Amino acid sequence: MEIKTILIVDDNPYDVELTIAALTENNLANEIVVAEDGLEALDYLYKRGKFSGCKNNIPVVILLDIKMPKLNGIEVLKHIRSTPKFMTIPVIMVTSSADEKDLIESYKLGANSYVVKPIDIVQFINAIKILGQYWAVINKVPVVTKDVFRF
Amino acid sequence: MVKFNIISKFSLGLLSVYVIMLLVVIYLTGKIQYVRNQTRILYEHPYQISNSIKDIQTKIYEYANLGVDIQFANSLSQLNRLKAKTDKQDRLIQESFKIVSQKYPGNKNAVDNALAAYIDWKFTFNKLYQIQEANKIDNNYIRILLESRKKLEKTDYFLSKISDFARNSADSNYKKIIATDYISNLTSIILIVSASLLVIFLIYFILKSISNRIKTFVKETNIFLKKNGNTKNIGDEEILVQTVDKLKNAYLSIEEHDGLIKSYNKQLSEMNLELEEKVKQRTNELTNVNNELVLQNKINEKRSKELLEANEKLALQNEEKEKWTVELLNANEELGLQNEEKEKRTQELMISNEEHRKINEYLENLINYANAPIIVWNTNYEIIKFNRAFEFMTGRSEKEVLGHSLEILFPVSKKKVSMDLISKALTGKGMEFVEIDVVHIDGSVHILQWNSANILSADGKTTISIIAQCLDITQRKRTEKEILKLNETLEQKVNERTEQLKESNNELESFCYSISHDLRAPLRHIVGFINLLIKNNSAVLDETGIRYLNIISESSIEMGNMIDALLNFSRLGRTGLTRTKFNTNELVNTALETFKDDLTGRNVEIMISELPDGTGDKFLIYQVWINLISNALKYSKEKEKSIIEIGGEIVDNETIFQIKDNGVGFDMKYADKLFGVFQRLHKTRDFEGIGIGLANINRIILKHGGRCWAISEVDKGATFFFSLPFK
Repeated sequence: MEIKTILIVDDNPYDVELTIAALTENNLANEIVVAEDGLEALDYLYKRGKFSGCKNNIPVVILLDIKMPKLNGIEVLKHIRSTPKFMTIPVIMVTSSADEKDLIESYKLGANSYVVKPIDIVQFINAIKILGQYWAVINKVPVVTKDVFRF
Repeated sequence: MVKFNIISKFSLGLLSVYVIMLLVVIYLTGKIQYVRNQTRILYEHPYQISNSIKDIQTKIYEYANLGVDIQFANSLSQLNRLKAKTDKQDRLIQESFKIVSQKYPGNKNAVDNALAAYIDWKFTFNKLYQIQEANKIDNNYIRILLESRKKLEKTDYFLSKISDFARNSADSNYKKIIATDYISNLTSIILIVSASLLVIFLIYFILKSISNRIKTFVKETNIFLKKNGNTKNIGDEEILVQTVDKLKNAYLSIEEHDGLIKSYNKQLSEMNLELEEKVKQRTNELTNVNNELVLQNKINEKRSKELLEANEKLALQNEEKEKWTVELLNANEELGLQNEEKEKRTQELMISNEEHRKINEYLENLINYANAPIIVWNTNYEIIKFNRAFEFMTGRSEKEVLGHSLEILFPVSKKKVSMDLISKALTGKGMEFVEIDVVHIDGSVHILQWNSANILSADGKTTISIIAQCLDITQRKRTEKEILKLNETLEQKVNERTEQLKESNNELESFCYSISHDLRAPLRHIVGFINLLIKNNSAVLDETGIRYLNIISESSIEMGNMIDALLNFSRLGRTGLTRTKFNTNELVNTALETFKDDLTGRNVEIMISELPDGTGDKFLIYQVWINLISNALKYSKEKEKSIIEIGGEIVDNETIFQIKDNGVGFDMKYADKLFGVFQRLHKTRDFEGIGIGLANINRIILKHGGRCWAISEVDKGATFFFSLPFK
């Protein structure tokens, strides 16, 4: 069976830990790769820097935080969507708070979904559950789509 | 012998009388017949000719009228019909001309001329047929049409001339008719009188001669009887019988003649009667002619009458003019009287003049010593009066400037402009608050406000000079300038400050936003890890520990909700409005749908009246309704039956909506706190919520330019209002 890699891009280790916990709770912890900022996310995709020489899978889904140092989530999204090789990777924007500007920008750039991290962890687990099930399990043929998930 | 004598004498007399009578009658009859003829020729003939000519004219016009039909003839057959018609008309006209030519009393050449003109016209006119037949109606056709019209007029002119002549000769013959008539009447009368006298004389003569003869016969008889006495002689007796026979015969002859005379008489009287009748008939005819003439006279009289009336009108006008003249004379007299009064007045004026002199002196002094600069100049702009205030203002004395142009008062650079302004005063009514600078000899410039008035000549028509009073507004101008400058800087400052305020407001908004945003993360971590702690480490935690952790988690979640609400609140401030017009009833019904779940198990009555349309951001107003309905439901949940009434009306330029509940209400003391952020009038335990709903409503409505307010009484429900302006 093909290993399905989920790429989490988030600079906050606590958030990363909580996300992993949520994924684990939902039995979605196939292979989780964590990039601490946008630059690292691209390094992973291009197999360079920290990830040079690794035998990296193309992730089945990228959970991308927006507010990050160096390269922020929107910029990473822009890059992914403009590179033919990564164009079809599903990208879910996961952000701390709903900012309309970011939301519109994300969808414009071709984000597959936009999720606000709820304060209530239970809600977050449920959200991850639905997301993970869809992108990591059900959706076997990743395509660029503009379908909207609302939470 | 006797017998022969009597008969032959008698017969000879009778015969001669008879012959004479016959001759007279023949002569007179001939004479009367002549008169009759003469009269008829003289009078009837020219009129007949005149009428015949008129007849010709009419016929020619009928002929010409056929020309119109020719123009509109649309088929050849119609044209041929018209041609036949005109040919017939032409024959009639030619015949009439022949008759006129025979009877015409004047120069026959005139008739021939008319006939020639007619034939000429006819020739031209007939050309029209040819053109019409060839169907070539062009300018040439019109030219011929015009030419034919001219010729027709010419023909008509000739005919009219003939007709006039005939009529004139008829009129002139009328006098002759009267003369002839007189002769014929006189002849008739003479005839009758002479015939009557002759017959009477004849009868008298005959009877006298007969009676004489009888007398002579009786006398002879008597002599014969005396001579023969008693002797009876057969011869004598025979003579007597013979005599008696003779006598008898004589009587018979008389009687016979008498009858003859009588029959002659009768014939004569019949002839007379006939004559008289003929005279009468003539007279009648003449009377008719007379009547005609009388009629013409009447027409003339009518015209005369009109002329007379016109004359009368003129006479009336003349009368009026005369009246005016009289009035003018009266007015003149009055003027004379007035002149007298004027003389009296002059006396009075002399006295008042003295008073005027005094007033003038006052005025002179007033001008000279007035605080305001006063100046007078003439139409050549030469200064003729210059008061002390002006002297002070310019540093020049009156003597120095008198007779000089106003120019010397103005700064060199502004001379032209100033003089232009001054010259305007001369043409108009004067200056009013016109600002013109004046220069002091030391070089300092004063800004003066000029008010001027034109001094007019006695007739009030021409300006002879101009007086101006000035006000020194130099200081005021300077202050005004400073104020303007200050205002400008003030405005600039206000703008700057507004900009700064906007900026800091924006900063505050984004600060608020980022704080809320940043605060969310740690809260999330607290809640998340407590959750993990409880899940993964429940073995090492006792019940109290777990309860504490739950409380921490709940409080953190509540704090998170508040932060989210704050974020939402700040977002409301930052987003723009998309105004549309929408159906409020639909909006409210949609909002009510979202509360379906909350209503289950509750007795709620919601009454919605017909709501006016709203104008604004539909989504935000939807939020307002959600909040208001939520509140109404929330605060009336304790009631056995919640009654909620929703209404709206248009008042002036805004639409006011209201929602009324029968819930717990609030104390109006705290009404001002109602719309603040996190302000609550009830305990959280009683009514869940964080106290930002009304603040949000307030923010939305204020953003729309509307207002929010509420009225309530504790335990008697509350009514919330909000207004939306049309724009």
